[in-house]
Amino acid sequence: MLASTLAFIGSGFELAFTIQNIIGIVGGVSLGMVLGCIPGLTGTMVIAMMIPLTYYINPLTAIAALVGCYKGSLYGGSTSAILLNTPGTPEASVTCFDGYPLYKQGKGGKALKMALVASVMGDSFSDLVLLTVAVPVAAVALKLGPPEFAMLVLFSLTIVGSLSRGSMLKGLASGFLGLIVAIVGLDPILTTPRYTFGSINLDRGLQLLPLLIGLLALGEILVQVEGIVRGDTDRHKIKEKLSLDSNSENNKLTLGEIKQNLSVIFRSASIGTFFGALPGIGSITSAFVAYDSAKRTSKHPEKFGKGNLEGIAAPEAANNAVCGANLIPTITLGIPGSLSAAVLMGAFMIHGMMPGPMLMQEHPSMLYGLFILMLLANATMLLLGFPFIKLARRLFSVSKTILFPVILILCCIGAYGCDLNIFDMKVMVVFGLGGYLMKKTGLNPAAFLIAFILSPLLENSIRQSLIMSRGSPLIFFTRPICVVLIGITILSILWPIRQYFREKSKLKTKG
Amino acid sequence: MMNKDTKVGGILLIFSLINFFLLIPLQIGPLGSAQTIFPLFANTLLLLVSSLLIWRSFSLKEKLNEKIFPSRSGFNKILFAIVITGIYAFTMESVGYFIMTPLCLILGMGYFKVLKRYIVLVTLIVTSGVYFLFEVAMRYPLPMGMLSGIFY
Repeated sequence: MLASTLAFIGSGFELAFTIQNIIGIVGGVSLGMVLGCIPGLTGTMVIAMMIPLTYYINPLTAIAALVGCYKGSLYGGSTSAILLNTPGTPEASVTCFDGYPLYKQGKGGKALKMALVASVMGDSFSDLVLLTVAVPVAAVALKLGPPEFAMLVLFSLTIVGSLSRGSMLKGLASGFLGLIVAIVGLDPILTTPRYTFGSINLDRGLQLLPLLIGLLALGEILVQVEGIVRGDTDRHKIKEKLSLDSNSENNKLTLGEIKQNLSVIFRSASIGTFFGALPGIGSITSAFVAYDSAKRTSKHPEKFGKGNLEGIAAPEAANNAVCGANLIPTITLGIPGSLSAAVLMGAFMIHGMMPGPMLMQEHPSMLYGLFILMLLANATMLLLGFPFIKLARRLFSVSKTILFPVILILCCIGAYGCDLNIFDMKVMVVFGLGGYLMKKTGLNPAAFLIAFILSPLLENSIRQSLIMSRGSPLIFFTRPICVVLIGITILSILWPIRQYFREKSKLKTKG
Repeated sequence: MMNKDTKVGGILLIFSLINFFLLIPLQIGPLGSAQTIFPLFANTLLLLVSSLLIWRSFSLKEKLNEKIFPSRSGFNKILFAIVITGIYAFTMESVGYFIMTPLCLILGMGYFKVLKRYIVLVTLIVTSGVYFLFEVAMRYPLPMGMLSGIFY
């Protein structure tokens, strides 16, 4: 296995180092950093809108550019967190705790540099873990049959629903609604139409991209439109001049400071990698856990929240480490553990590749090429990150009153570009409204989207299992791996319920 | 007054009941046939969870006055954004890209009271930028609608 892995890494290098791929990576990272630092544009929203631009690029360049874009947006998000105390992306919210106080002390440049170094190190760590474990995990996954896959998907859905922010029941309900919506189209085995209401457009099913752009981009814009003040250009936020003089001693990041924070960075990167590999736990939770862990193990916990470099290194390393680790279940099992992984999985599917254990068998060189390009994206981020700091100041003044109408138009054109069909644009508008309503009612668009993507896999696995057992559902209860997966699925549902009742009884005894 | 979870649970429960009694038999096939296994499975899960959501919302007596929708001015802005996007998507085919895009951008930015010079500049850049990126560089034929005689 080792020899073949090394051979694939070699061919991955050959595939990765082309002018086209390097341009794709540099373009993706730059665009991600630029868009990520604009408050209101999240990383997943940025890649959802970028997908239509990659249709005619070769799959490796396209996916590498999208991954680069996501990585760049995570760093871009921390720039506005540090300089404006407004996280550009939700993942960067923990960075505000120590980033903004450091900026107030005139050490904004130092904070941004630490965020960049920690992001790159955290990202590289998880990419290397992905590179190492992808083959063994995929090899194990190949041995799973349809019943095991059905239970694995069901387990992922329940854990995504139950661990997502907000109510567990609403998370699960969103997921199950996603399963039903994905049924629209032709039956995968009998090819009879389902939920098509006689429409030819619905015969091909609901396309992933319009749904993705609608739920993530349009839905998010509608939520934010509510808060826009008409005639406001947002410039009031940056009345004070941002002082980032790179020659000033205060803004220099020394090698000694990086060394001092190495243990925090690697511990946080491990936390991010671990959480990233599990379904349902996103980069926000990882950043909070890493920050808390850094505070508890620090020699100066009292300095946290007042401008401590460790308080920046920990969340940045952790939230960036999630990026590579998220791809472990996505690529090896075909199960996206988070929203960003679901969007990237959508990109794979749009480019004609179905993530899962077979992907490792069918396109090993391409996947290793992608892993190498992910490492290259980290190096690009390090190179572009420093000059970007100066540009970031201008980007903060982009007004939402101008930005949002433009994004609405781009969402429509992007959805149309999916199949050059106006119907997709209409689907996007409907799901945009759906995404908005889901957010307002506390339902979870991420769980809905993940379930929508996993629904065909779950349906095929269940029906194949039933064909294998001649219609007997006992097949799911007689195979050891299935029984274990059913057990942990039930546990994943019962655990939050137990926590809820414990908290309720605690409150009762207190009250 | 119902709280938010009761409303959400109620809507989902009604949907799952309509799906079970009406949509699955009419749109998929007779109940019990092979093609209805998965829709029934997903629908049963939704039915269970929505019932639990309603039951739990009754056990939580706080949060009675939670608002789902924003204030009147916030609601107007959202309605405007939805209407503009809807008009764009639903009339694009017949009216065409070169009329609908500037129109929607001007209306959108005008509603948010953006300065006129920015409106003109952004409209020109976005309309021509998207055209060159999609139509010229990536060769996506954008719908030209009424102007199709001029452009094709």
